[in-house]
Amino acid sequence: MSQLLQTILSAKLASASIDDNREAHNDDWEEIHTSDEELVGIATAPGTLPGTPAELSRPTSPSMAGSSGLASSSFSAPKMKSNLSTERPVKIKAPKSKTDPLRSLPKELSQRIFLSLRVRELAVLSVVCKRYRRSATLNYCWYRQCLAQFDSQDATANSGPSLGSSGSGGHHWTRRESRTDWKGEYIKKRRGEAKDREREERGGGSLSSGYSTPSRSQRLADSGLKTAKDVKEEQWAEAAEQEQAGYSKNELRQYYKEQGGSKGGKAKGVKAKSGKGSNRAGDDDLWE
Amino acid sequence: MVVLETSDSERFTVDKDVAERSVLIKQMLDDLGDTDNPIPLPNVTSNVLKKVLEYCGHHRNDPAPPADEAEESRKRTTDISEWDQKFISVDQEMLFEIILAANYLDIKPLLDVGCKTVANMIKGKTPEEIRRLFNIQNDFTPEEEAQIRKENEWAEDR
Repeated sequence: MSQLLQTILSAKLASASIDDNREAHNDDWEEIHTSDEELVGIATAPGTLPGTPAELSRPTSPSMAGSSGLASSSFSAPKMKSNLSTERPVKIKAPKSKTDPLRSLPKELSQRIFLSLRVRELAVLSVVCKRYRRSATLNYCWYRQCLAQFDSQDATANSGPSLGSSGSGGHHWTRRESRTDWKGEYIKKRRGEAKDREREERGGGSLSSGYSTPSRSQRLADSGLKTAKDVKEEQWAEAAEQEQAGYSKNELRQYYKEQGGSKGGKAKGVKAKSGKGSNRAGDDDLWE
Repeated sequence: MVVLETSDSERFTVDKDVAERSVLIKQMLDDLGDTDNPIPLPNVTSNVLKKVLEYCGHHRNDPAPPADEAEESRKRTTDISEWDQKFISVDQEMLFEIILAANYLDIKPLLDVGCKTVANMIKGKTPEEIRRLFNIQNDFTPEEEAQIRKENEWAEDR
């Protein structure tokens, strides 16, 4: 009798653990694959359900033999899930760093922590190390800051690129957003504001701004032009999207909905935006 | 009374209302009915569960938190009660373990306290202090770091 109960209990637990498996999943992924996972452009989008974007994303590159091997083994079969969850406590015991929230906590939790920080604190974090500067989780926090601070002005302001799909009434963290350097976007917006103010003060006179000259690609982007690189990258992004269209369209839309919460709106809106100028300027230094 | 068994096979006997601060355990108890069998918690070690139960014991009579807490209240990182602050003054490793356990056991208020505490640790610190805090190596060249610090001037006032 007690044995029967024990079986029921462990079955219960297993199913509870599967619900929890999102985290377990992340742990495994992050510990073996840490730095790459966090790089924007390779990473799964934070804020989406971690399981599926990882499945959807292609193996990063042939040179990273370890990672593609991992991807195929850890995402291959649902039946692995129960194993994963029982292994989890062991894995937590041996991470590289137990004191770094980006490494020792699953994405949802570190996101939760960093979303409560202000811009100046996010800025400090970006100086900490490369992994922090390029962390997809922190990039998502910058994205949210951009939405919070600039979105309301977007309707009236005309400088700088649009923040995603403001026209369609909703904002969504898509693959394209995840590849954008939102800290760069944030700074561009702030520069734009400063320039506008200055122009107003001077009555639109001089060109000299007192700030360092932006790079060529930045200037082009500011004036709504695209560099060849931007155009190519957009093409690639679209090609990549189409490549996965088989199951990504509907599934991703589902994620966006869950993730975007009450805002609803069309996930497609972002894509239709390509005419509005590049979303991706400012990424020449650190982002590939 | 409910018996909980940790990953390192230690058993804890606690009052039901204490254990039920954990939504996970509550749901399991609801499904199982009364049982004398220990509830296995394979994701929690005994030293962490001890801490977590201390929290649950202190908060056993709290009203249930609102089902869908507004995100705004999460952002205020100052509203941690005095007892909670004292409770969460543990070393960083334990802090993260508590956060993970609170997440697994689904104890929202404890998860909140933990996350807010980490956020508070970051606030007001310099990059160097954060590196020391989280045990992170600076892998920027001096030029790269200077460049980022320069762009950060745009973010200092917000």
